[in-house]
Amino acid sequence: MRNIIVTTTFCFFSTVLYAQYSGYTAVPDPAAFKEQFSSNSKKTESIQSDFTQEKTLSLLSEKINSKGKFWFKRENKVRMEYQQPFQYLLVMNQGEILIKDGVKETKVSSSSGKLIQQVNRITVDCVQGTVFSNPDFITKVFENKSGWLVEMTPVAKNMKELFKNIVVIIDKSDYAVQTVEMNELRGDQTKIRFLNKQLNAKIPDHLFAVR
Amino acid sequence: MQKFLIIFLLSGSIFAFPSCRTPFQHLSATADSSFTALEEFRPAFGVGFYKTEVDVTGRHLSGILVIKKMPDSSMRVVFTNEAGPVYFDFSWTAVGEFIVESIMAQLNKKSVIKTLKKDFELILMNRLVQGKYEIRESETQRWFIFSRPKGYDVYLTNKSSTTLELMKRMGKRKPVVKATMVPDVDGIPSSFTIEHQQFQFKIQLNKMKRDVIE
Repeated sequence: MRNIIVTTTFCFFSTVLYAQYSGYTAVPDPAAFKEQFSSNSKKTESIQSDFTQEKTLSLLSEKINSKGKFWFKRENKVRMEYQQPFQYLLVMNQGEILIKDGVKETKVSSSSGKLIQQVNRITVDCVQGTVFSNPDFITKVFENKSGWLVEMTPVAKNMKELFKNIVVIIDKSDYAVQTVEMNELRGDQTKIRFLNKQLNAKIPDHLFAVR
Repeated sequence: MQKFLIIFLLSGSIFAFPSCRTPFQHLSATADSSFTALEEFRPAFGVGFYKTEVDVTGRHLSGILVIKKMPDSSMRVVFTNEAGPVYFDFSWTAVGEFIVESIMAQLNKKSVIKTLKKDFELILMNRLVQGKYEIRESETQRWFIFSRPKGYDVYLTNKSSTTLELMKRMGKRKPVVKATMVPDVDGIPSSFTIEHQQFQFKIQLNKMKRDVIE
């Protein structure tokens, strides 16, 4: 009887695990994957791409769509420029953040903008391959034929108050991030897709100026 | 950023001193006792998306504010960061009961919630039927004055009540908040400005076109 219960329970949870991400199976050796991902990501010095963002608020049947340009340059330099339907610029450079909303500029220091830093670190960590050493999250890795799916579950208190999890999909062909999906506790979701990627193109430093 | 918002919202409440005198004694009483004319200006949401800017004593915060009338006639106001999480999600039931559906921990202070609640109630005009009211007039304006526990919500129209000129939240003597609304043909205002008078705190909402966000 006990064996039946154990087996049934195991089967149930296995089903739930795989049903969670349709078409994906758990990576058999996560440690090896992490090392492989980290070392391959280091070959990416820069990324230039377009992005689309789809924001789903749980109360709405409508989605809020926006799009823009994305740049990354090693180390720790990110520029996200929202171009439609609003102008919004986010630049991260070595822990400093510049936000430009229309004509207004806001500089966020590492001390005053801890939350903004943490949220934006997710993107930086993903693109430069340090996502698995982010202490704010525990990660699980799944895969299908074309990509890896990394599920990041927050452990840091302030991140736990915001996110249920963050799901990142990485392209197996170039180890670059395809989508970042931020799932909030109440069902709100922000999904960013990176398109038309150019790896290791020359990107001028002034794009990441925060002063 | 949120810390500054909290501190200054808290300081705003200091100025709401009670007093025996009303600030409307210079206005003439009218025979008119109906605020039907004012109700014409009440925003008719559907759903409205607003690019939102908040300025608090030199600090700046931006995002998207969604105002939606739900199928059960409740009203929902959600403020989200452009690139990330939801700052707050408030609702008012069909009978006007206020509910905090969610709020970011950094903003989750009684004084912040109370201030935002009152500000939105002023511009959404969803408390007109609650409490006592009177209508007074100056030479050029008609004042619709609604008593609230610690002051008044006041709506100023032109004399013939064809234009809503100003919305005010007042303490017993001085204005605490001044707000304006620019109407649009679809009944969903094209912009709102909410400006606190006792400290630098301004909220600007500009309507986004639906066809570009869906």
